[in-house]
Amino acid sequence: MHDLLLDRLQADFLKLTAAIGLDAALSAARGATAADRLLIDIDGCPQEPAGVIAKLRLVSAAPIIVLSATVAPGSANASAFLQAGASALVTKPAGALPLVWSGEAGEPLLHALREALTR
Amino acid sequence: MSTNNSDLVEQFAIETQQHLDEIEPILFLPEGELPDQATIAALFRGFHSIKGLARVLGLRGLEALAHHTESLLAEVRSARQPFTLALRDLLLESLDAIRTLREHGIVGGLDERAPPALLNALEAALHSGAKGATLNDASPQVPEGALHPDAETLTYFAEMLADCLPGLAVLAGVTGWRDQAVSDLEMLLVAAEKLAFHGLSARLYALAPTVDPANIEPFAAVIADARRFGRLIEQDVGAEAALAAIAPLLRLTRAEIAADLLPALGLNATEARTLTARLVTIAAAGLSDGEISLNVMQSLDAPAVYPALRAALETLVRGGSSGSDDLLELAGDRLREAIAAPWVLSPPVRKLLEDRGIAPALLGDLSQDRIGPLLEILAGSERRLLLLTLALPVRGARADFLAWLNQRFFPTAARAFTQSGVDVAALLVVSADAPRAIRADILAAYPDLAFVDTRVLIDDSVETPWSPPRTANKIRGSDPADNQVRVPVEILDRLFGRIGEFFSISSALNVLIVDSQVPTILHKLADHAMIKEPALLPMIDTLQRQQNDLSQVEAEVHRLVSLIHEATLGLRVIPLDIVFNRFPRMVREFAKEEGKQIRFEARADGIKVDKGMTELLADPLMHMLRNAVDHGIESAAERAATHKPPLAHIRLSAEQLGNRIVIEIRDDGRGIDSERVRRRAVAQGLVTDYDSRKLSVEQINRFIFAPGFSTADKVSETSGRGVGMDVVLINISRLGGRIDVRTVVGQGAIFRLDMPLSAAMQTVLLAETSVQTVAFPERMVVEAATVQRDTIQYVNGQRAILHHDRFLPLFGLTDLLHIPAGVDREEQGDLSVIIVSSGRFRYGVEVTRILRRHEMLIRETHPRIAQLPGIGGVSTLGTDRIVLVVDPEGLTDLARRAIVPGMRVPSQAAE
Repeated sequence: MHDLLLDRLQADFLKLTAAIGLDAALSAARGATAADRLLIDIDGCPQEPAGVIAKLRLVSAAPIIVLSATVAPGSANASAFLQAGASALVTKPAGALPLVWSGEAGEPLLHALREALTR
Repeated sequence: MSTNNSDLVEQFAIETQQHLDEIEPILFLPEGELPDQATIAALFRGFHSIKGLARVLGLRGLEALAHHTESLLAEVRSARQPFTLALRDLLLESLDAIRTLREHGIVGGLDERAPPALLNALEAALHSGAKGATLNDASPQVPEGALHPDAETLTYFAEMLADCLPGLAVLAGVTGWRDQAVSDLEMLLVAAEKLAFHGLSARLYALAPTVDPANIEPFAAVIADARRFGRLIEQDVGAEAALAAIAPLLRLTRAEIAADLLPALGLNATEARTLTARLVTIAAAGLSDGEISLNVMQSLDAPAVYPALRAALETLVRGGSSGSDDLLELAGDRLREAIAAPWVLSPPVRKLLEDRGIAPALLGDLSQDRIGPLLEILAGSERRLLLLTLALPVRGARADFLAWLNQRFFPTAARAFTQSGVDVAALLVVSADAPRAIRADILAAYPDLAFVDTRVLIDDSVETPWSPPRTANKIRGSDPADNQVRVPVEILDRLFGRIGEFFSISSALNVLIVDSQVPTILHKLADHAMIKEPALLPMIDTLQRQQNDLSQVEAEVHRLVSLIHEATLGLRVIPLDIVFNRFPRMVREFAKEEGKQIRFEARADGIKVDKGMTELLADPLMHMLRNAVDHGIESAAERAATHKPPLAHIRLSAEQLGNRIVIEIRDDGRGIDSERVRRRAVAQGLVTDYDSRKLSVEQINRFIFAPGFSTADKVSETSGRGVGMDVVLINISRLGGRIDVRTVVGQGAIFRLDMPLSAAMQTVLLAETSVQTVAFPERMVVEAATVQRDTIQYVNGQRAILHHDRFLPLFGLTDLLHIPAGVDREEQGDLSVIIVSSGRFRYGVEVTRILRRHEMLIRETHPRIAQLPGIGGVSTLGTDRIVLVVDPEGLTDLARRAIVPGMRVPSQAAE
């Protein structure tokens, strides 16, 4: 399902590397420079989210953008992820299912992602 | 080698010898016997310690040798190399070389190098991976997502950080040894690169002196990183110390950023974002009041909350360089409230979900759109909450499928997971349709789904992805190894009551024995008999021995009984939650009565307290909450007029700090108007108008605790009669605690109760005036001193003594407490003085005699006694002696007032 997202974003950004699993993610992160961006869907991670973000922040000079359904403004998760080192948070609709990427449901999300990625 | 410090050398010699002694026997194991994992670890530690010790003394050759050996052992420890006999021989050789180097270092002060051949051999062994009998079969377990395969390296890096990080504050502008900091920085950079911590190293690089030297924010970023690292590996990395070094500067910087941010709000989004990013970095460095910055970040995108955001930023700007401010917390809380308001699940919705076995927290944050349908259920419509579980179609068709589901059912929550290898989706849907109809619908549109399950949620027997985890309840039936018993509470209470009585008697016995005159009398008799009646001496001797035995046995008895008693105190504990549980409902009802909208939050953090304590706490808390609702929170109209959010906020929280409990009640209401309190106090004759103007704000606010005091213009059902706060104060003093109130007019108030966890026993210093025994709680006593009469000085008319080069005012205890001094007041000889302190105020209290330390059981105090200024309670000593227990804050107040004007005393506000 994330492939869908990657496809849509590929149009606007240069190289995209996808990683599944924490080890792969960490090594991909290590390779990133400050001009790159890291996008992580934290809801899909079995490990503790704040810890994952903290590790990524340590090993990578690139800003980290966290996509999650549980980071509504004011929530505990939002504060926790920001403290753990996230540079930006993007909320996706409730539940871990990403929905279609066009139409009123998906467009705002795409837009938010693009915006976060280009800041 | 650096300057010879003989102490260091001696210590080095002793410790290294110890380690060598430990290592040697391990290496001389009988042939054929390989050491186990624990032994290898011990070996490793031994060489590691020797390395560290060598480094301290600057013996670099020895350090290098130990380092090589240690590295080799690390390989063995992680099972990357087996422990072969060849290896052991190599280690033995290394051991011998270490001995030699060590000796030369100690005796001659020489820093020699190990023989190159040995070093080469060690290096070779390190890089080879000899085959042969391995020690253990398990391959090295590297957890997934580990920062580094070798945990030891991480620990080493953490230690390095702990040593260097605080010192790096120099590079951020703090005065200090710059060269040291620069070389430390280089070392850290190298280490971070080796560990491939590119993020950290990039930020460290920003600290390099070639960059603007006074910029404090890069350092904050580094501290934030270090802090995260420390938390990940659960080790101290010096982040706290580093933060402490720059905290004031950091707060100033933060205030400046906030000041820049205010004008950018709503006008220049890019700049606003950059500035808030900087705020977040500072917050992540660990400032205790950093939460507000995080909330600022989150509220940037919501213009609706700009008023609250502005207020919060203004508080930040004002907060400036001062220490952690309760105002900041209040402002931060309100901001968080404002931005969270649309997303929070109201209690009825929570209950709706919980009744159906769904843990609301697992749903994530729902927008108002999604919560809407749930509210409809509550309003009693035909709709119900259904759970749909479906297998997902093949990958290509998924996107369309999901879009269709979303459009058709508008699910409240949705989650995807894998079950038995099949990708499944679960949706919570609100619908009036029957489950079967929905199922038919789905299958009609997508006939190829592996399975579709629909059911109505009406009870908690359904296992959903949002269910709270199974509790032990379900498993208990099959667990035979239950070692618990159920005992009726009455039996326990009676038992504990008896034990309590037993303990009291034992204490009385203890006092009798300790204070007994018998040894002195026997001694005098012995002296007398020596001269007059020598034949009696053996008998007196027997008596003395028996007295000793008695004394020893009694001491043991008392010790054991104390332990038993203490154990029972712990058994009567109940969670504070039980006390707090009734409050939400109560507050809601109060609020409804008053027509006010209040959000109430109660948090007890799982703290457990003695049952007796909860009984004494419940009433005061209820009363204070009632007060907050009735008088603290303004009416909706008033709140609107003062631009406050209509939803008021009251928070009750309990926290355990060491062996004390702190309970706070905070509200964001109108606060306490000190001027009104002052006028009321004068009107009620509690203080003269003239005197009242000399009091500080805190002192005036304490008048609300006076009996019969009330500034309410109308009397409500239970509050407003002034029969309340004084009882609160008494109850809390009974528990050995204190109350503080902090308030800002128009913004709110914080009531803070602080009491010892075990209200029963307190350690005190006993002292006597000529007629009364008085106990000083240990926490206020600094020293018990004897002062020669002729060293007393008079400073501006106030008696004072010189203590540790400081002048401390001296007061007589009987004068302060207004208790009778007794006729035979000593006019010569040395004075017994107890030096006490409360906050920053230190002073001396003169007593007739200082007795001893004692553990006392604080009894319930009659309200009238608790009100006496300076007295915190009474207790008994033995069966007949009553002891007055001093209230530290009360006595200090009395001292302050008694002090002859002209002598400088730290003001109360500065404590």
